[in-house]
Amino acid sequence: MESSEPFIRSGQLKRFLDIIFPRRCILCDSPHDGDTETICPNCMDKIPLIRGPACARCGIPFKITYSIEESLNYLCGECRNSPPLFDRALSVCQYDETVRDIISAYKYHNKPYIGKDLVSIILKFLDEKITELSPKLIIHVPLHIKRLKERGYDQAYILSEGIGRYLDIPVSYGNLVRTRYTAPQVSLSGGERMENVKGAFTVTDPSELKDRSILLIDDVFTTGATIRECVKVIKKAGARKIYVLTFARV
Amino acid sequence: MKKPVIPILLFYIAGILYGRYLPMHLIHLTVFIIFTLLVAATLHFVQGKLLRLRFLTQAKACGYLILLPTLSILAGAVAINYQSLTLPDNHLSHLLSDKKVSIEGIIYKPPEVLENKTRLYLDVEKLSGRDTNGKVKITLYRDTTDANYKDRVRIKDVKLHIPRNFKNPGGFDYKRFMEDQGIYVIGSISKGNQIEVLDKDKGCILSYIYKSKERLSLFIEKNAPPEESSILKTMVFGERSAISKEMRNIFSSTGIAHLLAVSGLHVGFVAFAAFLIFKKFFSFLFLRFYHRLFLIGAVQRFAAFFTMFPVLYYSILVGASPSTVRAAIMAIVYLLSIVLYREGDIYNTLSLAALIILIWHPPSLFNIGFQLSFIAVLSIAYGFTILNQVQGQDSFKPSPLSPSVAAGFSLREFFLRHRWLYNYTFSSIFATLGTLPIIAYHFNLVSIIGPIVNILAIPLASLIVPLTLIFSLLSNINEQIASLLINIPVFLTFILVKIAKFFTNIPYYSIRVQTPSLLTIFMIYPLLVGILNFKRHRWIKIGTISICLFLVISSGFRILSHHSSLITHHFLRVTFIDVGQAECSLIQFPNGKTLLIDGGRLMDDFDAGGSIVAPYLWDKGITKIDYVVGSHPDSDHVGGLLFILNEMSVKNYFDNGQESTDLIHVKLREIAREKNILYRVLGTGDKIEVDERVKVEILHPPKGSSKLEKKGHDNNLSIVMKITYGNFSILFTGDIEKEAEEFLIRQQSEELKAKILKVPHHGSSSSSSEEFIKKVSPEAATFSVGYNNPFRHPNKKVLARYRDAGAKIYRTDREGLIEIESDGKGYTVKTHDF
Repeated sequence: MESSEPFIRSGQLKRFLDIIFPRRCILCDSPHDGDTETICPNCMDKIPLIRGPACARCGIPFKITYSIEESLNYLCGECRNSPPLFDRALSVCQYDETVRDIISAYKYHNKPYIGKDLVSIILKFLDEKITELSPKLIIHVPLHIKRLKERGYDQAYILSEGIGRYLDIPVSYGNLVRTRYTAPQVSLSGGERMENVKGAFTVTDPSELKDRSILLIDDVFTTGATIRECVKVIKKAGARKIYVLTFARV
Repeated sequence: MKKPVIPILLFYIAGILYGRYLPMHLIHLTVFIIFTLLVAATLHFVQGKLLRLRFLTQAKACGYLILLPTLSILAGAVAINYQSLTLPDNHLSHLLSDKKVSIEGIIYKPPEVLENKTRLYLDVEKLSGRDTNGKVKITLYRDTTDANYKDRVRIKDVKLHIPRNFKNPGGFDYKRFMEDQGIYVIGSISKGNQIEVLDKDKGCILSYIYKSKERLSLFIEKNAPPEESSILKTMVFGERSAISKEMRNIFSSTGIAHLLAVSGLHVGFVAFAAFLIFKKFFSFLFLRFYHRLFLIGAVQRFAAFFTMFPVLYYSILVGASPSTVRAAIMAIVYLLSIVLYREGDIYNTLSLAALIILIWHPPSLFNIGFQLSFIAVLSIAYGFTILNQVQGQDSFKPSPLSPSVAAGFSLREFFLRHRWLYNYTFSSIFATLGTLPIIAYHFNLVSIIGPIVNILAIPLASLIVPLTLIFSLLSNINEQIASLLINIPVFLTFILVKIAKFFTNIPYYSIRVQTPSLLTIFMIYPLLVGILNFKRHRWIKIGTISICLFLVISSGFRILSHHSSLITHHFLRVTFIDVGQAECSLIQFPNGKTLLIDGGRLMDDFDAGGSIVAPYLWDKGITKIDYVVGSHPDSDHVGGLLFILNEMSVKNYFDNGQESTDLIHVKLREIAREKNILYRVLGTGDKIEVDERVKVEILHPPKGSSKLEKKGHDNNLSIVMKITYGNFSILFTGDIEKEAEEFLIRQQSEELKAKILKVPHHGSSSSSSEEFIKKVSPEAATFSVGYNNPFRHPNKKVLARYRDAGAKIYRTDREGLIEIESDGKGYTVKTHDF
């Protein structure tokens, strides 16, 4: 019950299910029989993947037309001036209209199963990079318990469990917690966001994180305010390295 | 394919319609299908061979496109006829005779206990010792029995017969309705001891559930005040006999009577409540003990999965009637889509449910409940889709069960905070609008206050039903707590009754409309969809406008032809409606005015006025009647007029003026007073000025007769009316007997002569004396009689008298409805024997 994978993957049954409960793209509403459950191949192509040069630290794509050697580890101006607390941030795509629709369907429309497709997109493009970093523990940016109850699932946890299972990395939950109920970040501007999440997170069991390299997972990286707060408390707990993985970033 | 089940369903439905209305052509259909199969196969082969691999898929798709419709249509056509084609030789319906027989069989459905009768459904195995099979419905009048579901019983001295229809065009097809339930034979008994229980039920899950119901309703009876408990038992457990007539009237007069009949809606309440409860339960469980399961969102799937069980349980508990089984199938298909994370397409899911139901029981397609529940759910789903589009929101379909979190919804603050209220209100509005054409078609009713009361009543009922169910089930564990908690639904019921009573005081809660044509119904839904999607596509615009034009033109044409046929053709039309052993005649005058003499019978729960006469009139497009005449206060003559006076717009009401204590008689005058209907007493010498070309004279009863003061009902005081139109004349005689006939011969000898005579008193031997027939000397005589009636009307001698007098004989029991049309010179008689 917890995972329908073995059930749905068996070919004949899946084809039968496609007839009685057809798959439909969450974006364009058209039916499809691609590999994914919820996003059709056409819309998949519309996702603005980050492929070009990007900051070796925070992962922000550079707005340049020429190519640069990736191994040189160029940093962006922001990261040179005030380096972020984390060691590396990775994202699959940029946050545009298409991605916004996917994320909002995933978070707000009671469709936890979209997570499975997001995981497979993440793994398709970042599999090697994550393995390179070889994190020892995956942790997600948690929801406040009140929000979690409202929503019925934790979108970041579903991502981290999918990735953890595929890459065989242990996934932690319940350790990093959001102790303060905060207004949704979406509605706020940059400065307010920082203020909004300040001191909202705590680590309940620091020993689990001590001296380990951690992969912190969230759905979207916008201003980095939420991530920064999480990283702060994880660092305080004694984590050796902290990598951040988000599906999309601004 | 976008919604693969929808085309399959539509073709299957087409097949069902085809199979039902054109069964003779089944052979042609089969030939057609074999032919297309051949074509498809050749196409497949040729194309595959010629174009090799590249277009092979196309050839496949082509084959699919041909095969799918033909196979679906064939399946539908066969499915609808399967039952009648496979009746075995020793089926009960082949072994019927006029004699009383004894039958033996198993009760296959929980007996339905109604106010003064019980219906037993028997799977017959032996008929007077002979092996047979077939289902039969036995009605036990005015007695009770302890026979129960799955018992083997023997019923003695029962007369079996094939269900009979009233033969009026467009009338309700009772025979087919019963056949669709697999019942070809019915019978009735009047004593409980005619039923002998041979073998008690051995006990299976179903009978266990049915029996547990008795315990549950006993608990309610013990712990709730009588009025509330009767409502709860009816509303929650479907015990239709529990509720009093007055209470039922209060509910039906405000348009919420549907709450009293356990239907798909109630199953929906239970599903909804069970889903919420399971969601809360699993939320609690997972948050405490299995946090991971909560994080991945398993609560919803668990809840959906476990909701199927209470849904199934409840639909069985209330008797597993087709409507609740249908609702259970619908709910389970929908819940499965949640469990499988495939909730994407509500329309496909709905079609799947419909397809399963129609495969399980094809005649469901013709069931009003089936049509209403699917149209209601469809309109709710579609309504919310449109609503979201209008609000300029995202294209994500809301699922009725989705939680109330919706960031970015730019609805007004109030509705945002009370989303359930918003959902309820709009669901109710959409369901009402969507079902309106179907309700207008079946019930000729457009309710005005109904939707408003329903917006209040449905939320209450959605709490009452599941709460009562849960608390009465709790009584099995702890009766004390349960009896305390049951006060919550009892209180809610109290409020419900208060609301209903409040709204009964508001008049004109609904309008009666004439029956819309089937074509209009089929056009109106595409029209609605077209209007709502008007800007989408050029073809939608063209289609919508053309449907609009078509409807306007056709309705204009209908109105025109309706009136013109009467006005320009100068026809007087007299119709004897088949109301069984009773009487009802409709006269349409050349100028379009209408006169109704008598209205059929009112007896127990059978009301000819509401179930035969009014539907026939609405079908004919008649919603207003200018003159209603009650010939004399017998319930088989004026009983049906109660409904007519109550529900239709009537200008004049006339009767013979007899002082009668008879309830119906008094009530009719009361209604006339209340509704400002002109009331007048008719007597000899009176004329009704309906149409200047037509003479309507009253020959009887004599004015001021001392007999009129006598209470009771005297057949010999019946109104006798003669209508003359040019050369054509017709005499209506009510129930007059020899005495009145002699009186008429003495006093009105010249006036009696008529082309057509409505035979007095259903052709009883006490009327139609030879001299009377001679005086009238009719060319044709019409008998209004019921098939196999206990009075043995018409009398054989009377029939012979008319035959000897050279009159052509028409009988409603044989020919059905009789329609006589005259242009003032000749006349034609049409009957509706079918």
